[in-house]
Amino acid sequence: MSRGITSLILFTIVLCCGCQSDIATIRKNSTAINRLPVIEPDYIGSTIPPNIAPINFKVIDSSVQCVAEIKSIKGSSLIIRGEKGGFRIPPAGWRQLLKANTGKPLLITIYSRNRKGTWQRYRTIEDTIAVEPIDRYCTYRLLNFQYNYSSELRECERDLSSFDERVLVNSRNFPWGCVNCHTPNNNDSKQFILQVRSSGYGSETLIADGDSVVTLNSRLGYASWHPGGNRIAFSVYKVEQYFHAVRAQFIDVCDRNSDIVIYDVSKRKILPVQQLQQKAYLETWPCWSADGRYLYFCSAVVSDDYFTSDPPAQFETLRYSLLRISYNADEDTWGTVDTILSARETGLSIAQPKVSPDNRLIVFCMQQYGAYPHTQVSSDLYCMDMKTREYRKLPVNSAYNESWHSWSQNSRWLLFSSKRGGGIFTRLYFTYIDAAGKAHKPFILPQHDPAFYDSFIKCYNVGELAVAPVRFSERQLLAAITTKKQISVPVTLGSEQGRKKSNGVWEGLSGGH
Amino acid sequence: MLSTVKRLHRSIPTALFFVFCFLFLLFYVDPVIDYSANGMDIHGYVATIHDGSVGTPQSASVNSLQYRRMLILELTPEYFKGIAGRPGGGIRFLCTLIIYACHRPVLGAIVLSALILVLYRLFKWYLQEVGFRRPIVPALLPGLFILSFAAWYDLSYNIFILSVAGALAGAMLFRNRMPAGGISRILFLSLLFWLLWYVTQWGALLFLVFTIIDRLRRNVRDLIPVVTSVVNGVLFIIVEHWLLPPGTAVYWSDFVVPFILPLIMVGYFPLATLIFVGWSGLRFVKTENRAPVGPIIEVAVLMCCTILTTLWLSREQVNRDTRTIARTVYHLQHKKWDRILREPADGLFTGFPQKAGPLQEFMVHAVDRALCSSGRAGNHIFLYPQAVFSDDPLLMLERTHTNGFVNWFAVLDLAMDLGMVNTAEKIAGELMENMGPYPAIMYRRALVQLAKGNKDAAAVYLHKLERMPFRRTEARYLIRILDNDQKLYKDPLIAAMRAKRDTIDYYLFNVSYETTLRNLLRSNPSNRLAYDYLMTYFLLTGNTDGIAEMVPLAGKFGYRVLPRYWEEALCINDAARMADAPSGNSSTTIRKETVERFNRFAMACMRLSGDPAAPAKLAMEYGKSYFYFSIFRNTPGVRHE
Repeated sequence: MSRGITSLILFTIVLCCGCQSDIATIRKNSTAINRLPVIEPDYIGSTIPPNIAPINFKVIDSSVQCVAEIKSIKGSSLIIRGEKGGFRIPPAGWRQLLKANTGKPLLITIYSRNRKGTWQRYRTIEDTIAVEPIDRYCTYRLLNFQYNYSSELRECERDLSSFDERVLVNSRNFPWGCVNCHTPNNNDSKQFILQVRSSGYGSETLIADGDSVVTLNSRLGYASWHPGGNRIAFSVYKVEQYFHAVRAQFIDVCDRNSDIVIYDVSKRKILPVQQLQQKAYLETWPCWSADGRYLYFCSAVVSDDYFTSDPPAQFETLRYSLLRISYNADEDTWGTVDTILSARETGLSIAQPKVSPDNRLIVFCMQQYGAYPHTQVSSDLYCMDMKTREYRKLPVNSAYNESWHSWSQNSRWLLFSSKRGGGIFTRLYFTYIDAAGKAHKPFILPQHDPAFYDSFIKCYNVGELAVAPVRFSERQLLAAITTKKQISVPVTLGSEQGRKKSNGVWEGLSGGH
Repeated sequence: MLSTVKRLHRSIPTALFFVFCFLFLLFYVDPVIDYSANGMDIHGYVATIHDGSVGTPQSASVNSLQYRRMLILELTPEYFKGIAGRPGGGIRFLCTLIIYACHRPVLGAIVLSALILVLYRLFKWYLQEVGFRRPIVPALLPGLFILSFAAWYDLSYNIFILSVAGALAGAMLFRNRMPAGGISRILFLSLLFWLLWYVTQWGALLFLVFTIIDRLRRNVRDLIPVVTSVVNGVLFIIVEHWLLPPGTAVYWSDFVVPFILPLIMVGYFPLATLIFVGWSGLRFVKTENRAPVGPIIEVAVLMCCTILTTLWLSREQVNRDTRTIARTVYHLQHKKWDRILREPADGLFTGFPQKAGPLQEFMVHAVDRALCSSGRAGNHIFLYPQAVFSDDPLLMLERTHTNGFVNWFAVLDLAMDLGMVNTAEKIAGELMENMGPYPAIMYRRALVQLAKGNKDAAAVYLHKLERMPFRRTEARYLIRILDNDQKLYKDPLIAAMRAKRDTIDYYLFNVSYETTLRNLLRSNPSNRLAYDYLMTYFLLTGNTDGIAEMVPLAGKFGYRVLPRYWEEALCINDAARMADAPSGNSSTTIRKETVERFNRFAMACMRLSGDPAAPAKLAMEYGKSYFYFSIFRNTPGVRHE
């Protein structure tokens, strides 16, 4: 037995030495090419967190054999042999390398052997290992690109330091189910909201607080937690979908009507705020500031015929502005509404404002019209300094939609969805926001299989970063969804008072992401 | 020598049965259609329509058993990890292989016949062990289940059959390899049980049932296997309902929703055994001591069962309509227009047009498409049943919100042919969302993206398809030419879609069919299919002004002689515009015989005015004319040319 173990150890040592001597020979015999290799996914020049999973990738060239050498300043380098051009970085060595070299460059050199048998060395890829880690967990929806139906939709949680993914809710486990946004409070899944729709159990909002989950039988939309944890701002709306005959991205979504309401977690009731339910305005996308003193939201002015025509009149020119309202948590009083960035000024429509946890920056989407950036190819991410109110387009945007962003708890990482690469398949990207507020080159969520995204036909959607995992198992969440102990929370919409309803009852529906 | 002859003689009914199965599968069912219909749940759809429950959320539920049985083969390590990583994965994989074998008709028929043979041998063996002398008939009857599923074009039901076969195999293994010691027996039984649970999941429970029956039959006092079975059964429930992820656990509803058939089928095996046990008494009698059932009676019973099943499959309404619809959707997918026109669908149109539902609408849609696509609509459309339906059958866009996947497929292909690329993309997406990522849908999604010039998105579908059997060649070819625009856009399917696609924007599903078709023609004035569809739409909606407006373009689309029904429509249009009877002096020249036919029809109408039997009387002579349709809004059709 002991002889066997000794042989195994010897074999491993010989193998490792062989690899080392191999790379030395390759390095010596290779000729340099003065260009960077083409790798997929594109991890060239990115800044990566020190706690991210291995950034497995593949080289796109006609080589018959390739080897990658990954190193930094401290520690030994990692030598990886490519399999059909794909490199799978060993997790243990990777973790060690990153941990020992925070704030330092990460150098990847790729050697490839062509058909003639000569080795070539591409220019070294230089990435940067950030000092600040990213929140370890990320929740998202995995779904097919959708039109009217959803049948298999999963809310998942991924450990970003590895490739582990677990399912929190699978919509197939309840009839005609749909899972919507998962919203943790201040990046901590100790408190979170999960919205579910199904034909069997109706519209539900699950509010988790510690070890308990409360199930509300109300249709509530996009949410934002007050940092105190006792107030949640929800948008409630009726959404409609239209399809174009010609456009490349031909789904168009608009709110027939929308308001923002405040939910009191302890009293379990909705508190209407008159300023957020104006008759001639559509209000949506609530977001609390990190200090809880302001509620940011998007608002657009609409004419009366907007509510009665089909499709709504001028919905293709409807533009939302970014507003905020002050709030005194001690006295539970609301102040006046203040316009932060007017659509008239930008000529674009603002959606999905997200304030950084350090209360310094606010990142939002701007697109040609409407409140749904995921359906607008023109949607890009913008960043505003909250003190100076200066805003700029982030350099992370592409020709396709960028939306659904989420800050890490330390305000250094921004997770966002992008449809780059065809406009159909939404993928998750991360970008480092440095102390000066500058966004670095984004990188895609790493996967174990380097060719994963080549044939992955599902979309990642509504990503949210969190420092701790969701405490509940799939079965426990399913039990909360299928429970008969639902709490009824009637939602009254101030803005529908005295207005003729055009199409049934106003209702919140966070579908069609 | 004599015993060999005797044995051969005894095997004749079995051999005859298998030859019958093979021929039935090959020539009546056609396994290729089974493969093509994988995931469409055609029988379930037809049955719900006959029940009158189509369109309700219950019947359309994607969470039904049908959906959970999504059987798609993918040649990737992740796929096999998925198979190996869940209980029951082995049976799902086996069932998928059987379906994929049907891609080749002879292979499919052989594999299905072999499955019948295996099931027969296993059940016969088991029944003999519990005391049946010659259990040929009860052992062969489950073969009829398999034939029925094949004739329903839904081989996913074989998941149940395969699990039963696994349970029987397990029971026989335990019976023949059972150790003598008590603890060894407990361990062996438990090991077999959990192994079967891993492979067949709920089949493990059935294994316990078979084992208990067998043990009690042999020795009522031998309680060890019974107690072990009960303990394992309880553990099974704990594992399934507390430990497994909810999506992989077995539920009672899997056997009863939407149809109770799986329960009946699975229940047949233990029930048949129990009936026999009850009939012969609990006391075990050695098989040699039992009087054999006469072989003549046996053959007679088997033949009766087989004939009755065949008659039931070919004559019973739901089965017959399932066959018609399955074959038609297959022919639509493969653009076999003549086969659609020749499809014997008289049974489906019994009582038409009074009885006109979604199935009749689908057939009318298929026939109209076959006629428009082959340029024969103007001359032949009223030779086939036509009527005014609640939803228009021509483009059938409103019919894609039920669980009738056949409708979705038909509309998807039509949209692609017409050049309605965004409509096609939407329908393909919704179809995939409801059915699952079947290769036939994914291939179409890739083509649509290529027609739109979105190579990045198409590449993702193509790379996925590359990992699936039977689509690999096409996928690889398209991947290879992805960066070569000249080759790529010369591909006939892609080139046609690109040439015909919409260039005028409007809100889909918010405009009339006329606007949709006119926009297609405006986008590409040489889109002949759109023109034929527009003319057919005018005919079916009685818009003779539209016919008159568009008829001048007929020559541009290759019509040297004006088709009969367009001419008849022009007659009516002229008659409506002029106070007198139409003459040959209208803007478009109408042939003399058409005008005469119109005059005769008009006179016949006048003669029969006030007669309640007028429609039937006129139908005899004018039923195939547009004159008749324009008044009565339906034609019975003779369904042959």
